[in-house]
Amino acid sequence: MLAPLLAVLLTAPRPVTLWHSYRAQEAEALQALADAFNRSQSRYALTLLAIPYDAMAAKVSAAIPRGHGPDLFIFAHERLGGWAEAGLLAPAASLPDVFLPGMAEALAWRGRQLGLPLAFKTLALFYNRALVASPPRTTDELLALAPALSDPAAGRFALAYQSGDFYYHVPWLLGFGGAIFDPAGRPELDTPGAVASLRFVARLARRGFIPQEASSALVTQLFAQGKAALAVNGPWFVGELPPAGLPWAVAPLPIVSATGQPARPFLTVEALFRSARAPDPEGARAAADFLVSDASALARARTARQLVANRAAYEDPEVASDPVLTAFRAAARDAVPMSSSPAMELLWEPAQTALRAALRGDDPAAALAAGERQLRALSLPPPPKAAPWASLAVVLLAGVAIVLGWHRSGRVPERGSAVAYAFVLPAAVATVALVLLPILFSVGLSAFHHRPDGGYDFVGLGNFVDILASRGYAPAEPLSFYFTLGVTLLWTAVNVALHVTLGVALALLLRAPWLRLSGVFRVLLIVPWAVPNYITALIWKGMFHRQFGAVNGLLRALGLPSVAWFSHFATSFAADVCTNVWLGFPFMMVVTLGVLSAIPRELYDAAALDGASPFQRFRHVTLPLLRPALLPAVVLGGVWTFNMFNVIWLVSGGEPGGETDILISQAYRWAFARQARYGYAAAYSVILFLILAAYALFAQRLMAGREARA
Amino acid sequence: MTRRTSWPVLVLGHAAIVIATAATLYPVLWVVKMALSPGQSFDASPSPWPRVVSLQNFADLWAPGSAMGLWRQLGNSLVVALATAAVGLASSATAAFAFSRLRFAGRQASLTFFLATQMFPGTMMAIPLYILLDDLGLLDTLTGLVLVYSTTAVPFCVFSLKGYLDTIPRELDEAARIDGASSWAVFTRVVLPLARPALAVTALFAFLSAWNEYILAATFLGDARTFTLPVALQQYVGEYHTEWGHFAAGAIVVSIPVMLLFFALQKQLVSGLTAGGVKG
Amino acid sequence: MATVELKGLGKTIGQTPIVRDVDLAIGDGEMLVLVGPSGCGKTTLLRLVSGLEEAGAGEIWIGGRRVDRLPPARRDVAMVFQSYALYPHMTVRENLAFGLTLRKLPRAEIDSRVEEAAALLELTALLSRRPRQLSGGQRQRVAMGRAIVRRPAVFLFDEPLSNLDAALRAQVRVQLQQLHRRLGTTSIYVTHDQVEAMTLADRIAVLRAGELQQVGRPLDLYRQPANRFVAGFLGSPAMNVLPATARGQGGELRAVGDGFALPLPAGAVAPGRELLLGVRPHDLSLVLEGGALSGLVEAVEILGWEAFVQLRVGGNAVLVRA
Repeated sequence: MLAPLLAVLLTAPRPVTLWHSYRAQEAEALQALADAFNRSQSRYALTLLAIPYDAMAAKVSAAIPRGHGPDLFIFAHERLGGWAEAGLLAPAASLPDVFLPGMAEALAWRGRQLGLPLAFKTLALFYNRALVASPPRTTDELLALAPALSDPAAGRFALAYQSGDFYYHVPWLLGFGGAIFDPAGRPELDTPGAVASLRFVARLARRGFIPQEASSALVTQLFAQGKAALAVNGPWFVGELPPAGLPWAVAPLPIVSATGQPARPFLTVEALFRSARAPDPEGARAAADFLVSDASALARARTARQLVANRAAYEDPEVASDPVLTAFRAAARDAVPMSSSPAMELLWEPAQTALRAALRGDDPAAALAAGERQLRALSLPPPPKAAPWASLAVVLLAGVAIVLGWHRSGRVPERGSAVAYAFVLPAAVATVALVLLPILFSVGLSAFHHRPDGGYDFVGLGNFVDILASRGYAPAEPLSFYFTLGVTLLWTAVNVALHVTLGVALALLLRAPWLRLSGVFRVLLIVPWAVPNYITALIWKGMFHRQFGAVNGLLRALGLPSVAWFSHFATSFAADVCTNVWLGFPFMMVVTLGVLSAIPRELYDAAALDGASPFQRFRHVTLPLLRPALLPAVVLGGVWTFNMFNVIWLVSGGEPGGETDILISQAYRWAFARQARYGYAAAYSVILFLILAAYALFAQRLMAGREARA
Repeated sequence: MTRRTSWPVLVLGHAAIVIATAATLYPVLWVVKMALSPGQSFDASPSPWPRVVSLQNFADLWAPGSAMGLWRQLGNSLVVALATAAVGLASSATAAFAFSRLRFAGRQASLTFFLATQMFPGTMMAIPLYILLDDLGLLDTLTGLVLVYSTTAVPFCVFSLKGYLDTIPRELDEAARIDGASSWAVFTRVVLPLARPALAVTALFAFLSAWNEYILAATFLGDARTFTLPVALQQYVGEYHTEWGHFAAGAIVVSIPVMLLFFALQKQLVSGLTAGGVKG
Repeated sequence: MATVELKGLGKTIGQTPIVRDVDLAIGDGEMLVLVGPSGCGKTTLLRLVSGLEEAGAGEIWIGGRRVDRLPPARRDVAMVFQSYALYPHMTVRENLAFGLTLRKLPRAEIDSRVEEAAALLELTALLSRRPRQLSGGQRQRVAMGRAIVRRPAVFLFDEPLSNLDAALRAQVRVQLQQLHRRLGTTSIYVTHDQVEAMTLADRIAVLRAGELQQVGRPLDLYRQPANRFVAGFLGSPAMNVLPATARGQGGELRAVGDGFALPLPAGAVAPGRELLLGVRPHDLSLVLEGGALSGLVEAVEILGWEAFVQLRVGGNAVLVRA
């Protein structure tokens, strides 16, 4: 009786999972190939899982070492180095010679082939044939064409691209002879070629040939509406353009006239990686070979218009007749594979800082020098390894102090304590297990340096010393810990003050007896609370756009000059504050409404009879009653604002040059955007935590004082 | 007190509230506009009204093969958020009662501890939590997600509830004790029924925190059948390209249940959030 | 029914003693009224008996059982709070029944007791209302009802009438008196109102700064106060107190003070001793000539049914009922 069951079990295909972040046509094409693979054999069943792009890298890093990862996953090759050093990737066996030049090479690390190329992305020049008959072949031609095509006042530009994004600047940088790594392989910024390239783009910006603060959405909009004649963009741009009515074409990027070199964009290879922990390497290998085969590549190119990595696909008549695919294939010849070294990660932030400073009109050389300094500060060597004894002693002493403090605070055991503990137990156990343990983990982590190869060195309090001694920057400079701390405190104070003022003011208005429709207004005013803040923060960023944002539109309508919001600390900070106030005032308003509704009517009547004016009634009746009741809300609001990562990250993103970063966004950068310095980031978090804990203790005193008086 | 309000106050007051409301709604209207406009671009023009109205983006959300299989994810999100609210509320209500009503050694210290846990940056906890859930065998499960969400919600719930419980007169518990009530009976028969508005609001907060979260969900869930709504929604944000129309439409789908809850719980929201109250 | 005994009862909060070494025995069925100015510790004393607060020292015995280590629920006491402390989320019926349901009494028993108490307190028509739909007097009666249905060994009253207006207070006071006579339950009643104390008490205990000043039947305290504090606290208007010195004058003992010399019973005190002479306004009367005290009229208060005249006798003001 067992035999048939056994047979089923033996012949049941073994699962092979693949994680990807593809969307739309690319996802459909991949699914079709997976189905085809499953039909073609019966030993393995390939299943796909779509993961949000934002979460993919972290998920892969967390899952594979714990044995929960996929067998295969698709990601751009730029993270290869880090993952390879951490030992997450399995080497590919022999690689067939079917790929375009450079593709397979981009996926090699220390002499081993660690991924299979699926497709590539690079940049090319899109042009509107109605506006320019033939695309400029050189930068001189571009500059000659530009004046006639540009009219910034009318929102028309010769060229639209995300000028503030370093990825889009790389073509110019390399074309002007700049470099990204010095001959010794260390990242570098301040080269003559880089200065020349910054001069070039600064000129484009100054002359109004390119839009300012161009986001990808703005580029799409300008080009699609015929308000930009040219656009530098990647193959994904095709999907964003209207399906009909816009006569566009693609050409290679122009040659930089000053050097005679082509503008060289980065080449990103989308690779199929095999997990080193895949339980069934054979199945994963079979599926991978199937997906990167010429036949599969052709299918992907045909159905999803993907820029596949296989040479043969471009010889297919249907693919060869696609002007976009052939143009990008041509563009790929001049492209330079992006470095997959973890050191590359360090470069983005300072490069972007320098680039944006130059676009704002700062001197390019000075901007690069500043960027170079930032680069040095970010790549500062790890703290020296420490002997564990000294630190252990410190930890022990701290532990003893805590125990003593606890003991002292809890001297008065009363009858009924056991019952009280039973009441607190569920919350306490859960919090200790799922909140305290992770925190302790991070505290432990703060005593280590995370090496790029995934190992950890014990450095004792070295990370703390580095942070508090402000290594890399003078304490008063932006980007130093103390500057960031100052910004954070200011940020918290300003926000909480505005939350409370606005919340109380609106609550008072809503409670005014003469207000019509107060129920309707009340509902409408709490709407910001209901929409997820990662969405509304993005909307606010759009509203503060220099040329196309609604805020500047309003200013212009009032006859005021428009403001480059993210170019200066004060205005950039103000934009962050504005967004966060918008997000946070409904909470305070509702809390205040609750308190107001609890104030007995007679108190006002009594005050009115005493001859108090409305203002005096507010000052002497409302305010004193409001203050203690709002205190807990203010304390919590302060904590939330202090750690309000989303707004800073999504609105100003630290612009200009990291000046509006707060502690939490700095910590995040250290962990996820600067060579995964987890230990350093953890130390940042611990410091941040200590500051807040001190604040909490103080607030606790305030509240306890109130309790005692009551 | 039936003094008539002078008309400048009336006009200015109404003007102020109308302006505030307009400013509040403007960004939200943009989300609506992006959702209703055909196509996937982020329209940067200042007008908050769509030029062309189309429901295509909403239809796409339900389309077969869409990133949001929607009904299933809506269901997952509901289960997770409701369970988070229930578990978070249940464990924090007892703790809040103890903090508000009972005296015990370490009371102040534990209160500070609860407040302090709110202060550790959540973004830094994903990886340790991942390891923990894995060791508990709860990775890839909605149970694990609920556990994480409800515990991270507990400290806030404890605070908010304690604030409200502090406003309930102590004589009521005393009367109940003399009437013969144990601590548990005081809690369930007297304090809890009186704290209903605060319970509703606290549950709403816990619900919201789970409903909107996606980073942890995306990290812990490895099976498309367990994905919650925000995880699915976030798939419209790609490396190079964001499908704004779908994203906005999804955002509206995510927000509507919350709006309905807010609307339904309006009264409780106002009375339950006194967070301390006048009587202190 | 039960006796209550307090032995060396004390309570200290922080460094401040609130109740100091109180010894008190309350007889079965007795109504003991605790009076004293606000902050004297009388409410604390009551709460110690109820078990809502824990005694720092001493013992509490109820009905021959030591209870000071027991929780309130097991002391068999019921309490009427100053604020009434009615459960706002329960109807009057549920308020009354709450203590009984907690004790898991049979349904029928609960109903009959509630009906009985409601009839006694004229609450029958209000049973399905909630507290906020009741007037102050009605709430007060519900609070009493809640205590009555329990049929406890001891009633504890914490200023139960202080939230009522004057007319209602007088009315409820009489009802309370009748109720006590009818039920005969041992009661401890805290008030700062001496009228309540005089009218309701079998015995009064006067408390000051946590210490017992005097315990006795109302008229005994009125007539023979143990000290100046008790003398001044009971009676309205307050007793006249005149400093004087005992002197032998021509074989007669006299109390000589500023502007007067009054005869004292022979041998009452040793001559030369400093005295405080207490005379209630009601025990003095006005004569035009030949009175024991003489002075100038400073003020006259006419209340209609009686009048008081304030005289200046030497350096003292003396109030006389006219």
